[in-house]
Amino acid sequence: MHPEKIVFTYQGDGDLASIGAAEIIHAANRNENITVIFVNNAIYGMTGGQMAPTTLPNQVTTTTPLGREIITGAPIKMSEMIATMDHIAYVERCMAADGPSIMKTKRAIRKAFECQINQEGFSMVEVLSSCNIGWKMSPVDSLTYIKNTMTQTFPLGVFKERKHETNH
Amino acid sequence: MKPTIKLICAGFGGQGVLSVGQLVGLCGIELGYDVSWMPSYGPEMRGGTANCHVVLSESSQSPFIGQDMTHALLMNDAAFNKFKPLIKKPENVIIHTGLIHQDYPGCDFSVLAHEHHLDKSMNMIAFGMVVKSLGWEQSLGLKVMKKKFKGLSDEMIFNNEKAFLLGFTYESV
Amino acid sequence: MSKLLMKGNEAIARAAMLGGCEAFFGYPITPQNELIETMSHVMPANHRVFVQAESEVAAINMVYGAAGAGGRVMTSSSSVGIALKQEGISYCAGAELPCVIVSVSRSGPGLGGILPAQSDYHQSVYGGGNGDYRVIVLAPASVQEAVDDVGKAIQLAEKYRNPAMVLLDGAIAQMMASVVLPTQPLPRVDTTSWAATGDFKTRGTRNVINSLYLDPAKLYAHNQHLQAKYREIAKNEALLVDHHPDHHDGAIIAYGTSAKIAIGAAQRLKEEYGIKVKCIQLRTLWPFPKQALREAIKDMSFALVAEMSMGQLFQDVLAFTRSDTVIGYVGKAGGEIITSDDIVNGYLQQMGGEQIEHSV
Repeated sequence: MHPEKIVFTYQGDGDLASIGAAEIIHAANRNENITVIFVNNAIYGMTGGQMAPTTLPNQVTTTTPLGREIITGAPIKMSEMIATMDHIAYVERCMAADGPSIMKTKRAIRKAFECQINQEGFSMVEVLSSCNIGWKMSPVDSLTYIKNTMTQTFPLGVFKERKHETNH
Repeated sequence: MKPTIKLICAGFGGQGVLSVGQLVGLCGIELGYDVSWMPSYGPEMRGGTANCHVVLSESSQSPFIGQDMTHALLMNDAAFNKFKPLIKKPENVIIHTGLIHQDYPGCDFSVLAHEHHLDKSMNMIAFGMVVKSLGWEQSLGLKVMKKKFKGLSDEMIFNNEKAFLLGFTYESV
Repeated sequence: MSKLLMKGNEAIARAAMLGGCEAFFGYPITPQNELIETMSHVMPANHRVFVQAESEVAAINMVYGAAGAGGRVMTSSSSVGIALKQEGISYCAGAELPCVIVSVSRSGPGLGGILPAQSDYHQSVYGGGNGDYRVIVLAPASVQEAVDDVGKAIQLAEKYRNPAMVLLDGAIAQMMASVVLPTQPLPRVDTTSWAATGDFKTRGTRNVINSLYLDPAKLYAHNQHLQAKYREIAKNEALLVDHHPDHHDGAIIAYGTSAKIAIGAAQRLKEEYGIKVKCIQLRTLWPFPKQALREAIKDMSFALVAEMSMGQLFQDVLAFTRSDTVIGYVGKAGGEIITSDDIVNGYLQQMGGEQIEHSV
């Protein structure tokens, strides 16, 4: 519908990596000309801090009270997984941890939309974000946690960039 | 049959009104009542207000939420305006006089707590006043606090008890 | 037998574990989160299975698998999540697998809201899965009743090899109440004749869990077998509670939270207006206590249905009672909790025969 319109989704890790995992993989595989903003804070924030598929090893959540064990799965790396699809336009993982990283995220999101406007196909920006309440940290500590801890499991970077070839 | 007690505790989130309600519920269990504690949850809470209905009854069939409350602890203006009309007897209402400028029993919990360096235990002053107004023993309040606060630091437990006693013995004008 | 002050969700989880639940599969959704959160620690701590599934669909299919292997299994969710589970519930019913589904309903339709409602009456009683199947639906009105119903659901599920649901609304799940938890695991029904346990060699017969019958004659026979079982359940298990056996002027018919509020309303009608109205609380929604309800209201000129939905229960009461008694309706939905004023006013307004608009 309305192929001339800009379409984007704004999804959390529970939605994109858990209950909606099948849908995102097939939307990417069809190379839908949409932009996905994937907010990864390694926890279910809205429902009150349960384990997400992206929860880090040993991270305490309300459903992993003793810390996440491997039996519940390892943190799913959605950007890497989506980037294995040959035809898609653009996948980058950024973080929202300080001024420079937020500016970088802004540029990545801009680039993702440009891909869509140029009819290059599916683009996704994963943004490592904080949930200080769910993580039971101060806001400042949670930003440090993104920088020092989350990025160990979820390395930043561009995972896919298929430059300037239109889709159609 | 003991009369049914229906208490509403309401105020800002963070004032500790939900905990006061739970402690009253625990007292009720000690006294052999059937107890329910019904909190507000969901979008109502996101406006910064919190409340709970506590019903202590000898019958397990008492409705756990109602429009005819017997007692109230009201900690801000919005709570006062919303819940005051549900209480028949004004002497059964306790208000935070620092935030509600009305002629009802109560005290300025913030000032009193601050004067005694008990800022974090402000709600326990309120709990003390509630226990007193319900005609219960001081020892009952201390007993349920001991159960509820098991695991907290000694300092916190000490301060909570001090605050409770302050409230229990407070003479409201 | 000491009384504890505990949140509904937590009490249900602990009651299931203490009742002998061996495996729990869930997914976060408000307002049942504390249920899976409690399960996430009490189950592993007692050497039972807890899995946070990737979705509600996955969770109910895990239930199918674990129940098929003979386990005592439970899942829980809320409205939207229960909607997703419907296919799996139909499979469990088709394969005759005992399992317990706790449904903590919130307001709808769609994503709706997270506050309490009873708008999942149709969803629970009639289901959204395919085929002629039935799910036993128990409707508690307090935390203690919810705890008791979890145990009862486990037993009924195993007795009849059928899914059993405990349907409550978010109010009961979110409130704290004084509660006594079970102390003993419930007795186990022998499952060796049907459970797929990988013991073909020692047993000598093959146990197959299946709901697929391509031969229409066999599938028809299977359906007849299921119907016979459902008739048996309907005969034995339908239940209501008459809270005012000595009141005969009229009745308020309700379940769950609405029933609790109706008890207070009946009291007020007596004290303030001198009308002796009984509150009839439906304890099972399927099987619907048709016979007992008909009996209870047969000499009354008026009975009022009170529900936190737009006439779903009202329509069934109308259909199942088929008497000269005029049936009225009072209800709310969308997360608004029905009040005793609503019920008292609704009763007084309609007892004279005034018709009001209700759902179509």
